[in-house]
Amino acid sequence: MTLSNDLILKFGYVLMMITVYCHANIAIAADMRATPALLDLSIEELMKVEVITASRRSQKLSETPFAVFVITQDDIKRSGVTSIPEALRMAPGVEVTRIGTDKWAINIRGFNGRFANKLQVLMDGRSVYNPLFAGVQWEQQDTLLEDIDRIEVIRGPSAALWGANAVNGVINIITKKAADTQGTLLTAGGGSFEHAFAGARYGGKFSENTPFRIYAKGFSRANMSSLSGHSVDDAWHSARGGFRVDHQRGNDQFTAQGDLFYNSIGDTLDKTQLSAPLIQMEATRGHIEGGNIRMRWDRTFSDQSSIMLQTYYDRVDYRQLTAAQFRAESFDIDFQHRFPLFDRHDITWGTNYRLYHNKVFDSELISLNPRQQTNHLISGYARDEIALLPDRLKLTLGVRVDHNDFSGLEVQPNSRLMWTPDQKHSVWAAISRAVRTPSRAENDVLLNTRTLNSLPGTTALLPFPLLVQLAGNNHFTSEKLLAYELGYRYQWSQQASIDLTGFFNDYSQLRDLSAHALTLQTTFPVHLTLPVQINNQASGYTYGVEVSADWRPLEKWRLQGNYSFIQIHTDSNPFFKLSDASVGSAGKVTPQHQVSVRSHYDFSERLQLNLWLRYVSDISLYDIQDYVTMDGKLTYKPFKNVELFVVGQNLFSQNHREFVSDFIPSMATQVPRGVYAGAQWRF
Amino acid sequence: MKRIKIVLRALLFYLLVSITSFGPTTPAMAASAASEQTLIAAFLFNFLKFTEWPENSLGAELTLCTSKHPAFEELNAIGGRPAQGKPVKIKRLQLGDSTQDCQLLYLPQEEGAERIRDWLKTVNTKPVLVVSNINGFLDMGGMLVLNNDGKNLHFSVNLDMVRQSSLKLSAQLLQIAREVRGR
Repeated sequence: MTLSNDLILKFGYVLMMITVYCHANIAIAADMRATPALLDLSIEELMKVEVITASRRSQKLSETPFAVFVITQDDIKRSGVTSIPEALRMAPGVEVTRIGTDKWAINIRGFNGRFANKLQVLMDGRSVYNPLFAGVQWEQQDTLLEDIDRIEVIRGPSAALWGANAVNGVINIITKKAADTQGTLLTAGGGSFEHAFAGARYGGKFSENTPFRIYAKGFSRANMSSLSGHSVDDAWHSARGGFRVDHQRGNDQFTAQGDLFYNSIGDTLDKTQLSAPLIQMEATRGHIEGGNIRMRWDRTFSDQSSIMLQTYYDRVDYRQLTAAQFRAESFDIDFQHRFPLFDRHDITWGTNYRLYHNKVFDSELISLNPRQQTNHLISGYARDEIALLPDRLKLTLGVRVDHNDFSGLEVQPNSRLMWTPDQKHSVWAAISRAVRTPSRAENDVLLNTRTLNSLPGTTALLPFPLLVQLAGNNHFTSEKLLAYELGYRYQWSQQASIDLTGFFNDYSQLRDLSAHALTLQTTFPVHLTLPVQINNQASGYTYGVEVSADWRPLEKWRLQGNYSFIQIHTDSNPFFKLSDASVGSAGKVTPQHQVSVRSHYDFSERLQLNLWLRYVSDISLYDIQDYVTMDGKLTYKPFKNVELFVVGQNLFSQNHREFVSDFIPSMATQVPRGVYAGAQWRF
Repeated sequence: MKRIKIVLRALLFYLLVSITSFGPTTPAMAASAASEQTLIAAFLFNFLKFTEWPENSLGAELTLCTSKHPAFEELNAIGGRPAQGKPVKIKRLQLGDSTQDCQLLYLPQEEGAERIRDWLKTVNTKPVLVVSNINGFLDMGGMLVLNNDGKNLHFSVNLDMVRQSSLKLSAQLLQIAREVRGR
C-alpha cells in the first residue's frame, strides 16, 4: 500500500512538474522574446545572470548530442600526415584503408568500400559525395593542409542537417578564414614514398575589412607495389591552386572561394579477375582535372539569429580507363535561417537545390545508359533545439524532406536528447532515420566485373569464357537506416576527458544481387554472359562502441587515444554473399577492432616529438592480417618562424596490406614504410 | 476505496497546482543564463531607470541611441517599455548623425576604439549617458562601461564625466558599480 501511495504521489509530482513547465512556456510564449523576463530583474539580479558567449557556443561542439570528434590544425600538423584521408585515421569509428597511392576506401561504422556510399563529406559546405557512382573520390579532396582549420567527424546519421547519404556519418572539412591566414608561408620537402612536395600561400588585405589568400601546392608520390612486389604504376602527381576572399560589412559577411586542380594517376587491373580476350586493358595512366567556386553570404542579427545563403559550382573531368571516363558538374544553392522562438527554442531551417549533370563515356569496363543525364535534388529541413530545462536538458528535433530523381520523396527525421546534470558530465541519446539514395550508376550501369574461364571451384574449362556483368535497376530504391545511439562524456578535469558512444544500426532494403539467365554472345570474341542485377532485398544490423580519451599528464605532454569496436551482420542472397564485399560480406571487410594512440611531447619551444601508434584487426574476406604500426614526427624550430621536420610513416614493417578494391578489380597493393623531411618558413 | 481517495487527492492537488501556476512567469523563473547581447539590453534598460536628466533636455520619450552595426535586435525588446513614466524609444544612428535627442548612447565594442572616440566627440558635454562594453572605455572619456568577467556582466562608472554632462546617477546604481571614479 505504501508503495502504491508513493507511486501515486510521484506520479502527481511528475504531472505537476509538467504542468508548471507547460505554463511557464505559455507565459513566455506570450511575450515573444526572452528579454522581458530579464527586464523584470533588478540590476543586482542581472549581475548574477551568467553570460553565454558565442565562443562558448562554438566550444560546445563537443557538448552536442552527436558522436563528434574534431581533428584540429594542431593535430594535423603534429601527425605528419600529407593528405586529408590519412588525417581521418585520427578519429575513432572511421575506417581508413588505402587501396593504392591515390585510392582509399573510407567509411564510418561499417560498409566500407571503394565506393563506400553511406558517408557524406563536405569541404567548406560543398558536398563532395559523388552522386554518379556514390561515395567520395578521395584523391580529388585536397587543399593546403596548413589552411585547414579543423575536420569535424560526426559518426551516426545526421541526415536532417546535412542531407541524404549522411547515413553512417558526416565529415566536415573546414578551412580557415582569410583573416587567419595572413602573411607568407612556404613549405617543401621530400622522401621515399612522398617523393617531393611544395606549397606556398600568401595572405593579404584588399582593405581593412577584406582579407584574402591565394595558395598553390604540388606533390609527387611513389608507385605502390603488388603482393608479388611489382609496381602497379599508380604514382600520383598533383598540382592545385586556389583563393579565398572574405569581406565584412557591418553585420554582413561575404566569402568567395575557389580551387583548381590537376591529378595524374594510374592503375593496374588484376588480370586473374578480368582477363583477355574479353578485357584487353591491363595498366593505364589517367588524369583528373577539376575546379570549384563558392560564394557565401552571412547576415548575423544577433547571437541566435542569422541567415546564410550559399551557392557553388563544381566541375570534374575524370579519365582513368580502368575505372571510367566521365565529366560531371554540379550547381548548388543553399539557404539557411536560424532564429530563437519564445524563450527556449532555437530554430534552424533551410532549403537546398542541387543540379547534377554528368556524361559517362563507354569504356571496356563501364557503360551507362543513357550516357548523359541531368538530375535535380530539392530539399527542405528544419531543426528545433528546445531547452527543456535551461542548461540541463535539451531536446533536438529535426527533419529533412527531399526529392531526388531516383527514389522520389524521402523523409528523414531524428530526435536527440541531451542531459547535462553538471559541468562535468553529459549524457545523450538519439534515434534517427536516414536513407542512402540510389546513385545514377545503380540505375543505369553495365559493369564488367569478372571473367571466368572455368567453372567456379573446378578446373573444368568452360566452352566459352564467361563474363559476369553487373546491371543497374531502374526500380532500385533507397537503403534505409534506423539508428539508436547513446553517448556519455566526462570531463575529469581541465587535463582529462573521456567520450563513450554506443550504437545499434538497423538497416533495411540494402542492395542485394540476383542472377539472371546465361546468354551466349555470338559477336567476337564469342562468350557467355551472366547478368547480375541489383535489388533491395538485403538487410542487416550493426552495433558497436567507440571510446576516445584525452589526457595531459604534463603541461608539455598530451596523450590522445581511441578504440572502436564494431560487429556487422547482413542477410543477403547466399549465392553472391562471398563475392559481394559491399553488403553480403560487409561483416568480413571491416576490421572489428581499431586502436589509435597519439603522444604529443614538447621538449622545449624549439623541439617537439609526436608519435602515433595504430592497431587495426584483420579483414578476413581478403586474408589481410591485423597490423600494428607507428608514425612519428620530429620538429625543430631553429628560429621563431622556421620549422624543420622529419617524418616516418608506417614504421613498424616494410609494408602492410590494408584493403582490396571492390567493383573495379585494381591490383591489390601493399602500403610501404615511408620517410620524408622538409622545412616550413612563415613570414 | 482508500486508493481511490488518494488518487482523487492527487488529482485535486494537480489541478490546484495547475491553476495557481497559470500566472505570468515570475522573475525567479527567468533564465539563469542569457546571451551577452540580451543581458546588455536589460542593463541598458535599468540605466534608463536610474539616471536623472536635466528637466529641459527631456521630451515625451526616453530615447536610447545606438550605432547601426551590429544590428543588436535584442534591444528591440526594450522599445515601448516605460521607464520613469516615459516610453523608451530605440534609435539607430550612424557616426555623424545628431545625438541631440538621445538620452542614452550605447556604443558596442564592434565599433572599434577609433570610431568610439569619434562618437564621444560628437556627444561632448551634452546630457547624454554614454555606455559601451569596450575595454578601457572610461579612460577614453566614457561614462559607463559594461565588462564581462567571463561569467557575469558588471559595470563601472566615471562620475567626473557624468557630472560634466549635468547628469545624475542614482545612489543605488553607484552602490553596486564595480568601480566608481571621481566620487
